[in-house]
Amino acid sequence: MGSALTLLFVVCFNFFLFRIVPSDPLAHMLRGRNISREVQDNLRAAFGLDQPITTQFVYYLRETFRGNLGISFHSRQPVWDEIVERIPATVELLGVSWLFAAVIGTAGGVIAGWRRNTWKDRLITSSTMTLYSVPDFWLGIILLTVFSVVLGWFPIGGMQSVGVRLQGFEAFLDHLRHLFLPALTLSLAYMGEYTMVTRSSLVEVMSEDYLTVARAKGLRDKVVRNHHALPNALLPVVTLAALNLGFILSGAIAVESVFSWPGLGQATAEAIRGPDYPMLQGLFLLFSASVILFNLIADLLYMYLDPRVEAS
Amino acid sequence: MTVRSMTRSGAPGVSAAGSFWRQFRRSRQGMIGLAILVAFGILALVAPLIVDPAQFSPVVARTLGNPQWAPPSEFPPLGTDHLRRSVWAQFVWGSRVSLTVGLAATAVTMVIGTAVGVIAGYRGGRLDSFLMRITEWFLVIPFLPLAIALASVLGRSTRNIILVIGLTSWPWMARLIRSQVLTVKQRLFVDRARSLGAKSGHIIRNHILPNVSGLILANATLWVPISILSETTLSFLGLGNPGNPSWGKTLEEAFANGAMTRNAWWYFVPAGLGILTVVLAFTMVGRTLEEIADPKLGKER
Amino acid sequence: MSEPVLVLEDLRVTYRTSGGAVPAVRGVSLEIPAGGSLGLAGESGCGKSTIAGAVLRLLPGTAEVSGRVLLAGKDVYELKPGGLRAVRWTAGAIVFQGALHALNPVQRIGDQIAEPMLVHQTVSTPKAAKTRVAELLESVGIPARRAAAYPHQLSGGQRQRVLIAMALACDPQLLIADEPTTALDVMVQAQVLELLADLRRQRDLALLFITHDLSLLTTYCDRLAIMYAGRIVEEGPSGDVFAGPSHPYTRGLAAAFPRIGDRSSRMAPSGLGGDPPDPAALPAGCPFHPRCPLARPECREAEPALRISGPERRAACILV
Repeated sequence: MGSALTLLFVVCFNFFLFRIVPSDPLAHMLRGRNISREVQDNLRAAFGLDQPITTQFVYYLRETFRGNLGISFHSRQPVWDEIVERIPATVELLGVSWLFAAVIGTAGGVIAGWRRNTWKDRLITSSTMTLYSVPDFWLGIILLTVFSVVLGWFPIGGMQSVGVRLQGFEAFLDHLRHLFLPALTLSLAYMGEYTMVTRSSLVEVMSEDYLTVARAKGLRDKVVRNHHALPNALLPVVTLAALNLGFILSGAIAVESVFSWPGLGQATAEAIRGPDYPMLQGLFLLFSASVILFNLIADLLYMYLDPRVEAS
Repeated sequence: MTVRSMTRSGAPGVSAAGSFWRQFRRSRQGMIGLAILVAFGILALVAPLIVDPAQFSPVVARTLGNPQWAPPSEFPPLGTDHLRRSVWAQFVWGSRVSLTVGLAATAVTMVIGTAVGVIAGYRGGRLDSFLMRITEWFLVIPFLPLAIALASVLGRSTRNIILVIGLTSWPWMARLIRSQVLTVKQRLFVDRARSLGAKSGHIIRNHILPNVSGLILANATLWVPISILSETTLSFLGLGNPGNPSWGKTLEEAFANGAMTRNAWWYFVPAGLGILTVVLAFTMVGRTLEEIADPKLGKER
Repeated sequence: MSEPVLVLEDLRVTYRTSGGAVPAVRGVSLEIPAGGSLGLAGESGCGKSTIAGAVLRLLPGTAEVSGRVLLAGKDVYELKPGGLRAVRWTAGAIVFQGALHALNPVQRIGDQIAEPMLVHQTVSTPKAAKTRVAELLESVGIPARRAAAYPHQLSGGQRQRVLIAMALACDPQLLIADEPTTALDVMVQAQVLELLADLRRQRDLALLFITHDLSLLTTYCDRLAIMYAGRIVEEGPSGDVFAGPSHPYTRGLAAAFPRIGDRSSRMAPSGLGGDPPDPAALPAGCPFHPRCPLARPECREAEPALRISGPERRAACILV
């Protein structure tokens, strides 16, 4: 219910956001083209731009809920079709990165938090802070230069090699080689968050009495950690991972551009260049909707995982 | 006890600032960060003396007779780019733009966030629920897509980038400040001041704000790196101002003009390292401030 | 008399902190015979809870421990990690204060009770553990089906009973009860204590009962030890000590006889003026002298040692 309301807010907000500056979208679209006044007026009517803003708003709402996000200025294709076409590439790249970031980042946080103030903790914490301070796309640029340009181990960009026809397993391997660097970049960029959240959550749990009880029972250190500390400490981490799934569509806007990965991020970067307002509007709506959806999922998941939170 | 004398004892005064600094000086992390920031601050301030931004125009760069794509060995200290412009000059100027945007955007965030947070937390009731509702709505909107949408609607300028970052990141601050205000409000002296007939504005200025100021300062410092990174990404995506190049803008131009495939590392490494260093330094200072403002944190870290 | 189940010999615990070394326990020696019971009383900060942790070697890494702890004849601080784990919960188990977080919030209570049995292999199968959990729960007055409950689904009194059941899981020789009833209301507190006393009689358990509530100890323990500033200042049979305290501090505590239900009197015994001393900055001489109504000039000079003050009784005061 709350999520539906939030979604409605975003849909409305989306409409007004792109109208806060008075401008003629058609002028952008027709820029540089020699089109007669009459045709322009027809187009304006076709897009409903001759109507008062309230009528436009009603029209926008109706069409949005029908799944019609308008026509891209750039490709003249329906925005929805353009977007759907790009979704798989982005989901693949970010899904892989999400998984690696969550698993490795959490493991790092567990090591750092369980043995606080040891050299391992200091190493992990300081490298996490450094990774946190680097723009993700710059990290991508550096990795690309080192591993693709200088060493030549990986392709420069894209999803598969062009100009060669590969089949079956070879095509798959080729694809993996293309996936590696962008996925590495994003994994490194997102890892830090998991490490910090896991570490601080574990540190908090470690002062709890039930860990002393567990130790008093004669359990091994590892059992204390895995059976008592982690099931509690990882609750917020699981929520974080679920929340981050909401960014699976919008999380790689700049990095996709660096690696010419043909997903939604690259589509966003292209739409900015236009600027292709209908496309930007559609992407913004989709990105927001996905975050809202996973917010809801994270809440439900927490309810399921933590026995203390009763479903209300 | 009068309201005025309570104000004196309740608010951190000059001596409090002194003890704050004494505590800060003890932190190695904080002092290293501060030293880096002072260095970059000086660089940013004197940038106009070192660099004439006119040279970023391709025409001017050509008349200077610089070589194209020159590595640092040929054109010290940092080589040139595809338009024969000095990378060092861009780095120096970029420090000025990136720091300005980072600080100004944070200021916008703080002003909006503090205003909303203080009003919501202090007034409570229906106004609070209303403001927090709005805040929550904005919180779920993913930051970068919103910033991109806003920036592309407003148009490319340094001022707009500042506005966009400020306008998109206030909700976090508002929520944080509100919870602090609620804590402070619980404490006795606000009730006493109110029962003595003090006006709301007076209470907010003299009782609430001084008590949340340490936290505001710490969070502002921790927000600057986020602002700088946001500016970098927006500029990289082509939303920055070409006539006023920031580090992010430099990275965009380096990338767009194939500096990577040429292995012209001198074009894109300095700007990235600049961002990394400044962001890290702000984080170090911010965390130190946070530990002093909230000593409970220090033990956990 | 058989071999004592717990012996502390000159136990000293010092916490290393950023502000320097803070002595929490400064040379405590005591003995509990098999099946016997000792009550340890004192204000908060006197070091009594540190002793509970020291017996099973549960103190944090910042605590420096010296002296000897013999638990069921084994020197706890000489044991290798494996030997230490074997002693924990089987020779001595702790009933923690259950009000806060002594139970793992995301694990069912039955599993938490069964855990030490499976670890120490006092039962052979998970099924046998289940049966035993049911017995234990029934024996503390909780229906066996509640084994599937999570801690937050139980009341405070029930949680405390669960902690007792858990402590009994491996049939320990010694039970250490560290303020087991502090957070409970009066009725529940009485029930839990009666339960503890019953179980102790049935199973011939030795008990180390730690509390700041002197009145409880006289009812439930054979012997009493009073702690002040990290040392035992008086010791003896509980009835005698309570009826006729030798040490002025004990007198203060006893005079403050906290009536059941009066929380404030339990928290700060009214027979005593002033606050307990800061362990990091103890007064010179007898640490009690600043609060002692009978203090004399020589009390500031040297800290008195424990000496005989009656049959089976000792006290650390120059007036004895």
